[in-house]
Amino acid sequence: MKRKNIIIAIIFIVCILYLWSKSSTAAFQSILTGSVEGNIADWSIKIDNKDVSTNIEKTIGITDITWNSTHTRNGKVSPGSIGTMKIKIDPSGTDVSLNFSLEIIDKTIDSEKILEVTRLTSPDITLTQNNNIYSATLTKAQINNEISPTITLEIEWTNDDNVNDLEKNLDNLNNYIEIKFIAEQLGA
Amino acid sequence: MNKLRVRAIKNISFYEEKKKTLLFFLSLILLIFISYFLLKYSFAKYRSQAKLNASIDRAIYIFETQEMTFNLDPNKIIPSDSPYVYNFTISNFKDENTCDVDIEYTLKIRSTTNLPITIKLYKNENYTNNNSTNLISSFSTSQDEDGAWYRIYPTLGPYQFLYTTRTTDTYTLVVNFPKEYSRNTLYSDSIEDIEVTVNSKQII
Repeated sequence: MKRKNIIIAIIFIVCILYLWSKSSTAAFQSILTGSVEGNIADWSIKIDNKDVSTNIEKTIGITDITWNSTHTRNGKVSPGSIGTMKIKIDPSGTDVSLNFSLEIIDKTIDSEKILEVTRLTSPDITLTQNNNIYSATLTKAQINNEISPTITLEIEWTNDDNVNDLEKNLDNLNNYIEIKFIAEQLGA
Repeated sequence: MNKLRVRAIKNISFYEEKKKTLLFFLSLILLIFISYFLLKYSFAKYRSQAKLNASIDRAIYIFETQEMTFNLDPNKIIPSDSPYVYNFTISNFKDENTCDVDIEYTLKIRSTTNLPITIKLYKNENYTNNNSTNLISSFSTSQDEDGAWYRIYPTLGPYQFLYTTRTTDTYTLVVNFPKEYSRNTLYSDSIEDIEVTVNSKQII
C-alpha cells in the first residue's frame, strides 16, 4: 500500500513538472512553416494513346490496323488477309532520355501464332534489330522536339493448307501476335 | 519444494524474455528488408512495360448444308416410271449471320451399287424443265478398303458464294429406278445409300 502511494506521488510530481516546464518555455516561441520541393523528372509513355507509364505490365490491343482482303468483308480478317499495323509510341511529357524495345512474337517465332510480320519500318527513328527484338533510343532533345515514333508492321495471315487455323483458339487475341514493349530510362 | 517451484518459474520467465527479444530483433530485420525493397522500388529508374496484341475482328465462316444423306429403302421405293426426287440446300448464312468471306464449293456424290438406279442432279432449276442442266455427266466405280463397291459421280462446278450476298442454292437429286426391274426379285432386300459430299473453302 505504501509502495503504491509512492508511485502515485511520483507520477503526480512528474505531471506537475511537465506542465510547469511547458508553461515556462512558452514565452518564447516561433512558428516555422517549411516545405521541400524536389524537381522530380516526369515519366509518361503512351502506346496507341493508352498510358503505359507504370512498371505494371498492361495488355494493349492495337487498333490502328488497316486490312486489305479482296474476298473478305471490309474490316474483317481471314486467312490470306494482309494488313498494316501502326504502333505509335508517345513519350511526350517525359523529362529523361529512354531506351525502348519491341520483341515481336509472330508465326516465325512461335508456330502457334497466326499472324506473321513481313516488314517493319520506322521513318521517325532508327531501330536496331537483334533477331526479333527491335530497339531504339529516344533522347531528351528528341522528346522535347515532340518526336513520337510510329512503328509500322506489315502483317499477314498466311494461308497454309497443311495447317487448319480453325483448330486454334481464334477468340484469344494473344494467339494472333504478341509484342512485348519495354521502355527504360537511359542511365540512372 | 517451494524453492524448486520458484526456480522453475524464474527459468520460464527467463526464456520468455529471450523469446521476446528474439522476436523483436526478427521483426526489426524484417522491417529493414521491407523498407529496403520499398525504397529501392521508389528510387529505381523509370521503366514501363506492356504486352501488345492486334485488335482483330475475325471473319465468320458460315457454310450451311441440309439433308445430305439419303437412304433409299426398297420398302419405300419401288421400280417406277416416275423418278424419286430429293431436295437439299446449301447456304452462306445462318439465321442473322452471313459469311464474311467468299466461298467456293464442289459437290461429289457417291452411291452403293446395290440397285440399278440412275442419278441426276440439278441446281436451282426445275428438273422437269427441258432446258435444265444435269450436273452429272458420268460416273466411275471404285472399291473401298472393305471391298464394298461404290459409284462416284463427279459434278460440274465449283460454285461460289459471295460475302456480299446471302445465297441459298437448292439442289434436286433425281433418282430413277426403272420399272423394268419390278419383276426382278434380286433387288427386293437391297438398300441403296447415296452420299452427297460438299467441300467448301474460302477464296483467297
